[in-house]
Amino acid sequence: MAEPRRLGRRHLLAGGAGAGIGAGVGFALGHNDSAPTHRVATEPPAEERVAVHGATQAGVDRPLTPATQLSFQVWHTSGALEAATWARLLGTLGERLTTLVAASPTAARLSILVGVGPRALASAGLDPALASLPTFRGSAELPQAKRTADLVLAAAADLPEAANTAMDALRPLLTEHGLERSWSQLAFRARGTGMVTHNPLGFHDGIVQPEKRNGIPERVFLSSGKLGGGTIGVVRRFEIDVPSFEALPLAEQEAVFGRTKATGAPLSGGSIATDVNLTAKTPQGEYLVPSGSHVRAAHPSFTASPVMLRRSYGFRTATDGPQDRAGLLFWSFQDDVATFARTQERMDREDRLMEFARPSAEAAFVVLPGFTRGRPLGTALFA
Amino acid sequence: MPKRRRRPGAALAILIALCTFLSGCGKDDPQNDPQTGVKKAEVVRVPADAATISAAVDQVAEGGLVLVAPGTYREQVLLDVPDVTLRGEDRNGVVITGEGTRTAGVIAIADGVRIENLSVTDSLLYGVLVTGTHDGDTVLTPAQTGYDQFDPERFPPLQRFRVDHVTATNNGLYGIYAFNTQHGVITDSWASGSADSGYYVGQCRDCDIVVSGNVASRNAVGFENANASDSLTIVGNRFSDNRVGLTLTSNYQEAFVPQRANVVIGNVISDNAEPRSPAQADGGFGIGVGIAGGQDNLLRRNRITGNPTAAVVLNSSEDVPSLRNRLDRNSYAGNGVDLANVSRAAYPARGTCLSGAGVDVLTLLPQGLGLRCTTGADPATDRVPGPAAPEGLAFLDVPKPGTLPSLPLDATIPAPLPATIRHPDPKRATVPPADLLADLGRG
Repeated sequence: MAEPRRLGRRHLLAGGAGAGIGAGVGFALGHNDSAPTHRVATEPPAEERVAVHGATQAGVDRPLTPATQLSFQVWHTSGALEAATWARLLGTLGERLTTLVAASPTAARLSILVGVGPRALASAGLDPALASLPTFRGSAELPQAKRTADLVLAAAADLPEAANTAMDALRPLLTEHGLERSWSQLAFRARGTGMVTHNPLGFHDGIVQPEKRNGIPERVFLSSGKLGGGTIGVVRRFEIDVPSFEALPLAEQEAVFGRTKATGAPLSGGSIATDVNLTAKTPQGEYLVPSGSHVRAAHPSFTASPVMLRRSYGFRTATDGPQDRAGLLFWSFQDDVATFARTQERMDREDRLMEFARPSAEAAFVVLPGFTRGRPLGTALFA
Repeated sequence: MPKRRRRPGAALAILIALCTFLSGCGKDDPQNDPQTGVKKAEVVRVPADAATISAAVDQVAEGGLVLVAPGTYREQVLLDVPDVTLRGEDRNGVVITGEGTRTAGVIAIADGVRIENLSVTDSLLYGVLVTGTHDGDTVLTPAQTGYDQFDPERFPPLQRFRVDHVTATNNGLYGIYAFNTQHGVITDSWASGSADSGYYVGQCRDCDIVVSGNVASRNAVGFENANASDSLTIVGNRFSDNRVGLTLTSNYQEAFVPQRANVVIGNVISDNAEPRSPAQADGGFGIGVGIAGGQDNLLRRNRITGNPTAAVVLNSSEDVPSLRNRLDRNSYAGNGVDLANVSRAAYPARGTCLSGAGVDVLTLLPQGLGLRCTTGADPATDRVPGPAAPEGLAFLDVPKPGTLPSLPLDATIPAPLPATIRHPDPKRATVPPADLLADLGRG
């Protein structure tokens, strides 16, 4: 295999009188205390602003606990922009967002992230496929403007108006350069613990995140080349049929996710911090984490994929029509768009959760490498 | 002489469990007991010389024999002494039981081991596990979580093993399981009541393994292979009355994708629609042979009958297509369909090739499948109709077999196992009679 294979702390003992891998079978659940676990990282309340400058942009892995409010926008250019135009636009954008963050209240924990889509990559002499998605279930029905992005802006903050006001302030710069906003979503997430929060269906979300090495999440950032310090972002906006899901009995809801609703523990046992055991079965031979469950369908091991860094947000739009619109802004970062694509294709095929989700917009983009005063945003690609 | 791989620093549950029985932990000279200084024994009899099999393993010298008298042994045996033979005096009377609470019956992690003429039953996961994936005393099992994968270079395959005349019943995952091994045989054994598969050979290249003369019955799957490739010969077995008879699969949860180049000859694969068995967790039922992402396999002169969904089903496994599988001169009768292809359109099967007299009258889904034998994409269908899978029977409740043939009592130490295995010549395979090994386990 091409990838280095590492054996971490999740190795399992043979023996131990029913503990350890004995948890592999249903009625051994009571012995599951020694099952492998993952860390849930936390951080103290903000005492200073989220650093804008660095090798990577803010809003991917810093702050560790995502801000609660998100303004996410996808913009399109009127035609293909030249590299020099991109360089000017992005450089100015970087300066302005730096000023905006510096002026924001510390408590806002404001971060503003900038990404560019496949056409911009082409202008930079890079392969547009780096930020292109295959056609997923439901994607073909979407208008083109909701399947691709030229520019992505995402402001996250704990104070809603801090994010919204910042986006308003950046808008003129984009329109001056002939960009138009194709879609926009305001979304929110509970503060949660570390990266873990609740999704719009009331289940825990973002439980397993990439391992970190020297403080850097593995297989998230590109490490070299023009895009070194960048990452591939994927956003898919789903309308979620909350009423239909909530109409299911609790046990069915849990079978759809593969976790308990109350605690987030996998149905193979343990606590929320326990790794899911995909081979654990009932004595009758059925998986404890059922076929068709989201946990099983999206698990990276089936596609030999690394874990994606995920920080998704929910939304609910109150309208004057008959029913509110609820949904999820799924958001992942990885060093290869295929990591996401393989997983989504598998979910389209096997994940019962997808029966309650209908995509309404999507975009893949390169989150630009980080920047400093001496190295303006976008320099790595367009200078 | 190879040194026993024990690490004093590894304070592990299995070691602690063994150490309660005797003083022999963390020995320096493998042939001497560190406390008594007594030279290790060539032959250790249980219970005459050691009260338990585990205690006997700690007393036996490399290349020696642990000979077990009839009795019920409530223990999990870690066989970690090179070239040792663990032999029961009576296959049916020597029973290692997990009592529905222990992980495994026998776990073998040393090169050159033999396990023969005994029964292993009622373990939560494995009846017999032979594996190169261990760290001295720590045995690692694949795909429990899957966030970490197994490094085949860090864990070289176990070399040389023989599992012979072993009865593996009512084990929660696999009956007899060879993972990350080479140069071995599994012969004349019985596996039933496994909640996953009766036999499993996984993750090896140039496996040099022969599986012959075995019976798998009343398991979710009779024989399973994930990522075991090249020289694996499955010959003269009876995989009957399971939910699925035999599977050849590529699986990213283990190393060495894709699975390829097995030789499956002269087996009976019949009536795999057995309700008195644990469920196949993915819903499989009524299938003789399932190939998912398997490539360049040869299935020749097998008798594949009475499988109400299909004799052979081809599928893709994630993005791994099934390629160039040859089905030559097998005997088909009474199957739902004889060959079906449900590969995903993005990863089509190619080069599936049926040959032999009468292939033109086989039932193929879709029509024409396997008849062209070209490199183009094979025609495919969405699903194969078949009977609904009945609810699974708890693995501990699956009926046990009757008395099975036992080897004659033999207290001699066998010669070390050979470095390589002799494989039968596929050219000389014959279609076995329908009643091959069918009388076993009935009495």
